[in-house]
Amino acid sequence: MRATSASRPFPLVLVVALAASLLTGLAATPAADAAPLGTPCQSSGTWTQGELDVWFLDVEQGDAQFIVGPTGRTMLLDLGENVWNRTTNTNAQMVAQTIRDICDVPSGPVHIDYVLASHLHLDHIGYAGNPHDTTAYGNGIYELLDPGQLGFTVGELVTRDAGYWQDSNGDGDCEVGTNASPSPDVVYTNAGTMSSTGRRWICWLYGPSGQADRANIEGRVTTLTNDMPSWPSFDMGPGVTAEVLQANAKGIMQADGVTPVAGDHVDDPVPPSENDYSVAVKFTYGNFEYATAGDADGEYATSSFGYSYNDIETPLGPLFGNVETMRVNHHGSSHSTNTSYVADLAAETAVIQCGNNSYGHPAANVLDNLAQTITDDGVGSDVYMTNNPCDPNVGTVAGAFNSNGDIHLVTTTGGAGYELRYDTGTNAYVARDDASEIGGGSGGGGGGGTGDPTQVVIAEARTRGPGGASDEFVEVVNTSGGDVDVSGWALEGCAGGSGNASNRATVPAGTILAAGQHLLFGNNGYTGAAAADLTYSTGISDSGGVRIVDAAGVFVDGVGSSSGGNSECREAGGLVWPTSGADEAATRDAGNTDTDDNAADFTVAAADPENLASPFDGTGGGSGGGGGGSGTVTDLLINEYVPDNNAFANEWVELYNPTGTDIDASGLQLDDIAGGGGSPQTLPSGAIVPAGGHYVFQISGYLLNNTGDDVRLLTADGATVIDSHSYGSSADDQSWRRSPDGGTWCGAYGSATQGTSNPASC
Amino acid sequence: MVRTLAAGLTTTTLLLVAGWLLLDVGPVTAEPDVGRPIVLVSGRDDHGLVASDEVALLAEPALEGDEVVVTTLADGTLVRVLGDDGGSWLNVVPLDGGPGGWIDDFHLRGTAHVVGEEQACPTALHASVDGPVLRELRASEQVELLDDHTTEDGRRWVGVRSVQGGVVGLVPAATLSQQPGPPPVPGVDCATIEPDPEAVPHQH
Repeated sequence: MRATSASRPFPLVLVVALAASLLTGLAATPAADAAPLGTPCQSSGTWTQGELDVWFLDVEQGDAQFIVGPTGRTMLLDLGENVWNRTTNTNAQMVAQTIRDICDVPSGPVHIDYVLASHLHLDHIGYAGNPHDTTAYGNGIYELLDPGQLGFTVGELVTRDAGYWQDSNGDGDCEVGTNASPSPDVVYTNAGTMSSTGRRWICWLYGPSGQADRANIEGRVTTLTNDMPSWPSFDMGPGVTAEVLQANAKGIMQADGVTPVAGDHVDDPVPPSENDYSVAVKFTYGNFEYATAGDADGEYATSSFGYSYNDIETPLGPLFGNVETMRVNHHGSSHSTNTSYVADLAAETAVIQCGNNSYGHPAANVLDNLAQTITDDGVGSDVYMTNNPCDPNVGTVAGAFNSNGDIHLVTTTGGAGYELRYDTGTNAYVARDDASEIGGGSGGGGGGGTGDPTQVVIAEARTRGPGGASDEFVEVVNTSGGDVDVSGWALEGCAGGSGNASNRATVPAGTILAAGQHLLFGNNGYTGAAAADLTYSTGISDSGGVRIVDAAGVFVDGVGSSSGGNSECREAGGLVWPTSGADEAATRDAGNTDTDDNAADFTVAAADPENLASPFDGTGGGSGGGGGGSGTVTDLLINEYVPDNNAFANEWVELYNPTGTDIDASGLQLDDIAGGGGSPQTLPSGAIVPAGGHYVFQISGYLLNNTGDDVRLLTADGATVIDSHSYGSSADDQSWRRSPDGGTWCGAYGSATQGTSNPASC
Repeated sequence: MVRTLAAGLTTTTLLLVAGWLLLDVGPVTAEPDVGRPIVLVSGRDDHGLVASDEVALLAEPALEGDEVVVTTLADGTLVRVLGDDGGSWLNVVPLDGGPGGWIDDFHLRGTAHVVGEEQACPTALHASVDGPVLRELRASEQVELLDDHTTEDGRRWVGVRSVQGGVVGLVPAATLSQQPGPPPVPGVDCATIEPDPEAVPHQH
């Protein structure tokens, strides 16, 4: 709940200061009449009717995105500045002209449906003016929307809930204060490293009605508060969903696992970074999905500058799920874009908005994580940068697209694909539907646990094809029931004469093969339809072979020619490679049976190479640790719950799916003690508990007693108890939980891990 | 238009400032109820990162491009606030001497971290210069800056109020830093700081 009382003492000094101000003529700026709306985006503009356009605007070291829906509805997401007191040649003036050009508005104000501020830093919102200023400050979003400046109008100005104006001195306006005379007019709700940038923003957004610079935002401010029953969506036109997934670090705990990031931490010895309160938004149009999350961090650490980094990304990743495009958080900071986040998003394209800086943006670890991401197109995200280089000490990022200027993303054929247009060209991409994406559940395989590395086998291979002797490929598949980390594994080729093996290609770090997933190696001359995930250039002899070794060089699987002497690749007597030049390959049977006898296990068949993005084999269960097996609702477990919510907006119950397939929990009921207490609550439609994953049900109102109760998961008809647990007296935001996931219940409550894996032990 | 400090601070503060300037400051017997006549110059951005090692001290308030620079002050310099312009500009003079001028509040901070000589160790909060210890300040504890005093032998002390706890006392100026020191190292012994039970803390 929002605080209603002042958090700081009432200062006599401000009364004196106000009196002095009034005596010297510094009265509040007179009110202005509400301005007429600006001109909406015209169909004659450069945006694309029937598609979703996203412009990543080059504002140097900062962010600004302009998004236009298929019918011309618009959103400006951030408008950062580089210099706080700049009033000429500002980014706001440049962005205003760009928007006019896009919207074909020759001059004057444009009406934007939404302006959204991700968080309250200069490089995202600019610096707001205040009526008490004696120098004419105001750039960024303020300059854009101030009727006395650029005068653009807005349907909704959306911001996170950092604080609000409380007229503590009763003078009718919001003073920002100075460090010599702090003002109590701003009361913080969710804040850590608050700066004058943030205080000015709050004073402008929530200041008195009638204040001239507020005329275009009066009554149009939407604050994303943590007591909202659900985050809002925005109307960007038919077929587009634009939904908030996170703001104010709601539900995220600090490193101690107990203290929420949300709340007023301004006076904490080590407050959370303002970055961690960033708003995260997901846009979807057709198959195309885009994720943007401000400057959210992805680790727990303490900055030498006196604030904390908090891991917002890890729990945010599953909320986004697989997307086509991600905006790289925090301009490529080393504290963001963690491996879990990039794995969840599996974005084929990643945009880094950065400019000249001394912060090390973009960081090498971020670029590495992006390069090693397994996407639906293979290994590695294509990186785009609004400037390249950004930090001179980092230097030019090799392989990144765009060197200076705006990047324009536009979907094609209603979101079936998309293009990224940059300074020297255009790249086109396919946008896959969810079922065809990594993590999309196609094929029915895949367990949540760790699979058996020895069950990764070569499924198909050839030493020549229609393209000649270099038209080679080797397809590997994970036949176990769980994930296998194949980082550092290698494809080796065996010489026809000596039979000795040597490296052809090494699998990048962070590569996980899910159950049933394929990995495709191809020689440079490979001509097959499925793109090779990894390539090599030294060919394989028709009398040679190939093998897979793990990161320690230990043989995993191999196939080789029966000719010649000893071969380090073949199993048993080896086989005869197809050499006709037809589009065929040595292929295992449909079940990928492996008896360690190449001649018995392989036959020559039409080639059907598959890669990381191909549908997974439906291996079902298996011996993977914890994974495998098809699931039903009766397999679901209550895994964790918080009866006594304080920082958490609601009581909640986390379900865990120990099986290898997703389970639809829609319609199941959650109840407290049988025969009494509250009424059962029904899980909503679309309540899917992913294989090996979690689903968190937010209880409406109150159901679970703080002093002890039962929590029960019931079938949809309420007749059968699927799982239950009894607990005693609870503490604020502490959870009762199993350890590890699906394990035995801990005897005492502990730090909550909502939506993520429980600790391995109590 | 320049307002003097008197226009912006309370009588209590003025009396305190005058008292500290005129008297050989002994025990802290009063504190400003509001207002911080001492602030730190900051070249840091919203993220707390150093955007500039030096901050321009201007002849008068001005926007970017119109500045008349008197001198530059290093990030972390302690300055005395002489007045303001009714807005966000403060008229300041460095405590260590040099010309005065104007700096916008964007580049000033009213709080600092107390980082002792042993940077990962606590620091004593004294009731007066070299006086009894009121309490122990944790390593890098945040304090509000209140005022300063220079001893006859040239040592500068600063009156501070702990952000958490509200205790007012004095620390050597050299222990104040905009940036916290390194975190305490487990197992490393620090000198024992024992508060004097006779010293009366000023709680708020």
